[in-house]
Amino acid sequence: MNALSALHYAPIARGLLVLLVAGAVFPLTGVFVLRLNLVTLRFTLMHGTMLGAAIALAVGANQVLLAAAVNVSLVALIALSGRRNGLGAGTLTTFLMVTTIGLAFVVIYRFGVPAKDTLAILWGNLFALTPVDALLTVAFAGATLGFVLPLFGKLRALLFSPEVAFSAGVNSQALQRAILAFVGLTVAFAVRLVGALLLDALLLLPAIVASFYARSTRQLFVLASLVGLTSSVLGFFASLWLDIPASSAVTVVAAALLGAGFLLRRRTS
Amino acid sequence: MTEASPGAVVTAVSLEVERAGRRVLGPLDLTVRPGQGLLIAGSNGSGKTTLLLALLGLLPLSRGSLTVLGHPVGSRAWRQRRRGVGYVNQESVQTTLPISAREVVEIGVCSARERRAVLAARVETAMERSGCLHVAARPYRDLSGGEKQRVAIARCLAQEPELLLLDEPTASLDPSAKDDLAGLLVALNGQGISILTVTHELGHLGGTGWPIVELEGGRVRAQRTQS
Repeated sequence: MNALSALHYAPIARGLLVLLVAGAVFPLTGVFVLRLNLVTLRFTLMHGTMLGAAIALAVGANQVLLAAAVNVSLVALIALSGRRNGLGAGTLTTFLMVTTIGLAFVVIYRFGVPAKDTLAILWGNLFALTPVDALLTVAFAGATLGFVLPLFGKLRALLFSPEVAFSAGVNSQALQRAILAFVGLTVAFAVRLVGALLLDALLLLPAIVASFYARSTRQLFVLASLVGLTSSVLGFFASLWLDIPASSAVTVVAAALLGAGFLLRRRTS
Repeated sequence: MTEASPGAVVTAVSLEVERAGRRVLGPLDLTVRPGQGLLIAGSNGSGKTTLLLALLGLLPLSRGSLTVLGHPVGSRAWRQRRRGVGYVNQESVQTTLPISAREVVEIGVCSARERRAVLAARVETAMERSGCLHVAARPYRDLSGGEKQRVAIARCLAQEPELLLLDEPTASLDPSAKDDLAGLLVALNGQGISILTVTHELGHLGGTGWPIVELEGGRVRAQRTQS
C-alpha cells in the first residue's frame, strides 16, 4: 500500500493525528518520570492499565477510560498510604504491581477475553482507535499542556529540589500528587496507542535523549517533545512502508534516536 | 507556651523534633534578631539540618513552639510569608537536572505574582548582588562549587528574603571559595538580611564574627561569641 494514499482511510489518518499529538506531548510527562525517579511507579501503572483494559474487554467498556480510572485509583492509594503509614514506596508499588497483573489475568481467564485482544493490550493498536478514543487522547494531551505550560516555573523548581521549591512558596506536595495523576493517566492513554511493552517509546526514551543535550530545563522539555514527535512521524511512515505494526516502528525509531544520541554525545564530550 | 520574642526573626521555645519515634532535636531555645548572623555548629547527627528543616516547616514539631518571621510555623499567616525565608541546601549542589544558572535563580520568583519584566529584573539584580551574573547562561551542573553557591544565594535573594538559611555552605569548596563565600555572607548580613548558617567546619566562617551555637545530640552544648 502506498504510504500516503493509506492516509485516506479514516482509522489510519486518525491514528496518525493521535500519534503526532501524543508523540509531542507525552514525553513531557516522561521528563517527570525520569527526573523524579518514578520508573518503578510507571511499571505499576503499566500493570494497572492492563487490569483496566482487561476489565473493559470483559464488560465491553471503553479501555482508555477504565485504564485511566484504575491508574488514578492506584496513584491515590499510593499517595494516601505513603502519607498515613509511611509504607515504603517500593514495597507498596511492588505489591500493587503484582496484584493488578494477577487480577488482570483472572479477569481475562474468567471472562474469556480473546487472546488477540489481550495481546493488543501488550503492544497497542493505533489503527483500532475509535473516534472517542482519539478525542479523549487529544483532550488529555491538551490538559497536559494546560498543566505544564502555566506551571512550568513551579514544576522546574520541584524537579530541582522539592525542599527548595517549598521554600520558594511552591506547594510541593500538591504538585507532586498532580504529577503522579498525570503520569497515571499518560500511561493509560499511551498503552492504548503503543501497548504496555512499548510504552517507553513515547514516555521515557525521548526524555532520555533530550537529557543528553539539554543545557536548561526549558530545553529539556522542548527537546523531549521534538524527539517524541520525530520518532512518532518516522515510525508511523516506516510502519506503512514496511508493513509492520506502528507501535513497534515508533519504538525502534525512538531506540535508534537514543542510540545515536548516546554515541554522538560520547563523541562530542 | 512562651510567646515569640517581639520583633525576632526566629523564636524557638522548648522546641523538640522527633523522627521515627526518636527525639533528634531539642529541647532547644533559640532567638534570631533582625539583621543578626548566627552560626550553628556541630558534628554529623547533632541536629543541625533537622533544625533548618523545622524552620522551613518541612518537619513537624513534637513539642514546643517555633515562630518564623513573627508567625507560628504551619499557620496560615506563616504560609503567606514563608517565601521570606531563603534556603540553600546541600543536595541541590549535586543535581544532574539540565538547568541553567539563570533558571536556578528564577526558582526564587516562581511563586511571585508580578509582571514578567519585574521578575526578570529581580533575577538580574539578585545575580549581580551575589556576583554570578556572568555565569547566567551556563548549565548549573558545569559550574564550580563556589559559583553554584553564589547562584543558590542569588536564588534566595530573588525571593527578597528577610532570613537566609544555609546548610553546610562551605562543604566541598576550595579554601579561596570558602573565603569568598564568607565575605559575601557578611556583606549580605550588613545589608540587613538575617542569616542562620549550620556547619560542621567553622574555619572560614569563623571570620564572620557571628555568635556560635554548638549543638550536640540535638541540644545546645555551648554558646559563644567571636572576638
